[in-house]
Amino acid sequence: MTIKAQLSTFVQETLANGVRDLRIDEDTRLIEHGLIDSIGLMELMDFIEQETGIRVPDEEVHPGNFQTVANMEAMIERLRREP
Amino acid sequence: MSYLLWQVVSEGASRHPTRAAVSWRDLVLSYAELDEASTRLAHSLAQAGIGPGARVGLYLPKSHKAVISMIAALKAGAAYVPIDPHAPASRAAYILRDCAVRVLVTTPELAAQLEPEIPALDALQTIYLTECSQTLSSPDSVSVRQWSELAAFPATPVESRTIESDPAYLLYTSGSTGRPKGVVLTHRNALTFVDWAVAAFRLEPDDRMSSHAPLHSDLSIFDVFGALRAGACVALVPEDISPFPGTLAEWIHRERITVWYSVPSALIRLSVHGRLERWTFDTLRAVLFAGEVFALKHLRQLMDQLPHAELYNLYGPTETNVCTYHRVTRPLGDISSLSIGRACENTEVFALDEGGAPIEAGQEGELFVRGPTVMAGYWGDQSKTEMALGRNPLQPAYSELAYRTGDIVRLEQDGTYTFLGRRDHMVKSRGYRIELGEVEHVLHAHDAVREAVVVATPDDEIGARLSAVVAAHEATTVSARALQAFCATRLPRHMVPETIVFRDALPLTSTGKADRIALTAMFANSLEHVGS
Repeated sequence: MTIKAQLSTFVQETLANGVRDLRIDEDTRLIEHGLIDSIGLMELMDFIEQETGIRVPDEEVHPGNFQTVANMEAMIERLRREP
Repeated sequence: MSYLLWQVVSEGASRHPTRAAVSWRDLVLSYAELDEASTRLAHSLAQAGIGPGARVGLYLPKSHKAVISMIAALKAGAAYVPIDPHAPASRAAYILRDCAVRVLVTTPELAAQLEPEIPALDALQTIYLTECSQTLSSPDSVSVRQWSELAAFPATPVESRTIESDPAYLLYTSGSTGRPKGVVLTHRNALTFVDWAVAAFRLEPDDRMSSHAPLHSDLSIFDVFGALRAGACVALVPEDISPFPGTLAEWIHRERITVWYSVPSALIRLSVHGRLERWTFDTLRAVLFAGEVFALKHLRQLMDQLPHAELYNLYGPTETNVCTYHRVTRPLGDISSLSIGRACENTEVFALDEGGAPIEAGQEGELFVRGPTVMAGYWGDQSKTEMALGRNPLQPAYSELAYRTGDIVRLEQDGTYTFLGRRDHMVKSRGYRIELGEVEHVLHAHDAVREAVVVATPDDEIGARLSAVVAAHEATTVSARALQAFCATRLPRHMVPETIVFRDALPLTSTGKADRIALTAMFANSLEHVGS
């Protein structure tokens, strides 16, 4: 499974759990849907670290990198290239 | 002379109508605008049958409309009931049913979440949507109103028939028997605290106070009503910024915040991950925190990062507002835990030993609170109210109530108190109260669960982490992930156990109860070896 698919599944099952009729795709605006609170953000960062080995550095932790699954994937790819 | 919470707005509007009252994103509401908008909504609420003795539910993210709705409910004579917009719809519905909310203010998205629950909300008559939407299908008994209709209502003052001992708001906290309980606080409860806070922290019209805590947390009373009482401006932290420490730090700098108030875990995230060295925060004169123990290593770091800010540790359960406070001294010195200080003005605290006698300096006991900030009771629960709010044992001559906190404290030689722990199974995580029994109750509701015990492991950053030990029924299989998902549809996220492990049976004490001490020790010693 690609990291994009893994992230979508994680967000769907963990963060969007219980939110009726919301299907997460790579462009779903997660913050606007209220899915990312401080607990959700920590869970996401732990998940990214567990799956990719990348600990997201503090300067990358801003809404632009976490608004959508596609944003997260782009950030991960960039961090992979420039460790 | 009446003493009502909404008067902070109408008085502000007559004294300084153009001054900024509420700031949210790019929008600034003056005192006159806040007064007018809340009055129009209050008239509309009155037309919808809201008056003294009613409750208005607020199930929406923080915004200027949420603040307008709080004030409007009060002006209409009702108590407002703020509900966590991140809580599952089933929990929101429980609260709405429990206190028979007649009018609900919400967003179209949250209303859609709540839709399946609406037919069972017998008391609900009207839903106000803060944004336009045509999609909500509600039963015929519930009418839907749009925010845009409010302009048609008058801006003339609403006639008030409320008195200061009437409820102003209900705050729901975790309940040990499996359901949240509604703490009823009156106008006098809130204003006594607000007036103390304005004086104690010298809140001034020039202040820009942050509102970081959600509106269903009692910290919001200081942020919103403290600011409005002082003629200051309350700047609402947008919910999309709040989780991101670096972005939040930039917001504090850009908004020129002068007084910050939050739970310690939010400050710790700012301190550790907010890259505070980017700014000097020279406007930030006071940093207040409450809700949980601040780990000293993190407090020391924050003090170094904010060398010119005064820091205050505020203490008090939701049931009493803030009842003690302590100004943190610089340097912190060689202390083992942070003092909760002494009682706020017009409040008394005392501690009793197990035999009910007042403790002396150096001794430990349970803290009691008496005074005008102590709640009226728990909504619809006389027996819980009587257990918590008993006759003051130190006043035999007449009947006076004192609130029994359940917190164990030590009285120091200088008359201040130090918090030591709880006498029951309530823990604090991210500043939220969590009754472990409420989480266990939800786990037990799952078909596969035979026994479940939830334990809390202390954590320097967030206070406590929850873990559950579960014994499943024979011949059933259930995964930790599935149980967590089950919990997440019934509990707010901060109450869902981070780790769930399975055992054939739970260790028992000699009296046959689950051995919490052994289970807590198991997690404390081997969390890293236990899969989730």
